[in-house]
Amino acid sequence: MQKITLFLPVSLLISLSGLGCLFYSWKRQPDSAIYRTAGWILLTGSIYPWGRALGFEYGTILFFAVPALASWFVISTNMSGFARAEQGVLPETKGFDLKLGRVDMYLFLLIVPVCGLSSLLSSLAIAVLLPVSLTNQMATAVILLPLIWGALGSWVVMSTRPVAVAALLLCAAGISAASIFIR
Amino acid sequence: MNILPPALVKSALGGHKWVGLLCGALMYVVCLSGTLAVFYQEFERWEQANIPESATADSVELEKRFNELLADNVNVTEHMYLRLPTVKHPRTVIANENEGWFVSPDGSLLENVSHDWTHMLIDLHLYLLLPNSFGMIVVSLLGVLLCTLIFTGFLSHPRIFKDAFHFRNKGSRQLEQTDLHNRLSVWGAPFHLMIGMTGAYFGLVGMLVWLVASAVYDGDRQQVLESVFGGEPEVHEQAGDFSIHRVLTDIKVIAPNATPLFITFHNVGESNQFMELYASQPGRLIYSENYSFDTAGNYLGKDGFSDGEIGKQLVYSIYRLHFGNFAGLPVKVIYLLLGFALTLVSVSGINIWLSKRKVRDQINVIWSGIVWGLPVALTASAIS
Repeated sequence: MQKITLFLPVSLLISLSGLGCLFYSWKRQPDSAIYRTAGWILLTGSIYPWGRALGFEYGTILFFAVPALASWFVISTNMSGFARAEQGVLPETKGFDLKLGRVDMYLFLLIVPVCGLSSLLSSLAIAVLLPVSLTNQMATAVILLPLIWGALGSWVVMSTRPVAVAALLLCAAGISAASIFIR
Repeated sequence: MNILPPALVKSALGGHKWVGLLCGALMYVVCLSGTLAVFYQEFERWEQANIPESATADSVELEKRFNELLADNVNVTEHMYLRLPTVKHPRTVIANENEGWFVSPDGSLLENVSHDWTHMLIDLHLYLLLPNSFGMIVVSLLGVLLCTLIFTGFLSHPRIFKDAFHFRNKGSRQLEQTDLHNRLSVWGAPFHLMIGMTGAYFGLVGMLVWLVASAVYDGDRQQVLESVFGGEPEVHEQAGDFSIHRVLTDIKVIAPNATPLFITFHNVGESNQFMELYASQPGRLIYSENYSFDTAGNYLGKDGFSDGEIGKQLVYSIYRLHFGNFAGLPVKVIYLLLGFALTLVSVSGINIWLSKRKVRDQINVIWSGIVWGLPVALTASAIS
């Protein structure tokens, strides 16, 4: 309990000081490299007192959550108050105007089944390469799967040639499957 | 200085918009329901506020009541459950696989557990009210798409540091919504990424298990699950009443710092029946450590989630990490705020697209209906 009461305010202070340094650096024109660097060092370093205060698991969550919440408070006190711009009357149509929304629905097929298959196989293929137990390999794959899937999905939707990317991903899936099953 | 090439930013913005439009509405529903679901225990208590509460229970009376219920043989299923009272959730429940009954502090059976609204809220978050197995996969896919949105969002944001504290309020609607979207999403990104990753786990882990089973265990998924979560203890010739009092007494010696949450009674009525006590561990994200006992209350061992392999601990921590169900009210409030921010990010993302269109059509009307209709519908259904 004594550990918590000592380290909790210390970690809170360091996190907020780090954020304050970043804000001060941002506010100055041109921004201050010293304060920016100090801000990042303080923010990053605050993980230690957070861990000491609440343990590694709870502490890591607070380490990320506190700057996020505090930043919104800082931002809310720093709003630029323009006069409300005249919106004018937008033209109305009765139906659905999807012209500006790309409705390339085939991308969905590439993101979900193709990227899904590729990321499933590649995350497991990477995990089984690690010299750890099956349980730890499974846990590694559990972490990698959404990250790889998300990254591959990003690649597909950003690409000017998504079908070519998908073909590459299917090749990668084949190689990953071979590395998993042919052992 | 823009560190990202303009072409990359443009394609990332295009991809971000496409994925956002694909899943924006569903993301909003899942985010809002999930934000509220952080308080599911409080909602459950509110729904049946008349139930007498106590943070402790008389284990002798509980044992008597539970075994009487089993002796009736009317409501017995293969698995039975005894939810134990805690300071955070001071209610005792006996349940089978289909229904549950509250138990008063003096040990008498009370009314049925009936948390219809809370269950609806949780089902909305977990399955979008779709058939469970399909709905779970859809929601998990939204977790993956959230990761995609975070990646493309960062790549489409070359002024990320320059704009770190900007909020141009009361300017054009598009500018206002863009600043709201970017500020909430950038600062909340670590939390939002964690929510996406852990949310994806629940529906997608089955595919991993299937793949590992096919590769390593000739398709036997049970063996994969046992390698991670542990198997059932070997017990034979079990009979008689369950010694709940002894279990609850002995656990104070076996794990003095643990908080017993509930007991699952496995294979009830069979010769291999046994008890499994789930107990939360202070300062840990793992859901619980699970201690097995035979019918007479002899300690058989634990599953090792608290001190076993790191992968085992990690996988068993995902539930509490995703739902914010640890460390009490302060963490729940943090999850509420960060979850609400993600909800606003979903809404403002679509709002940006709408304001860029320079035209109003039925999509504007439908979107307003979804954004304002869902909280109204949830509130109306809660108080009706």
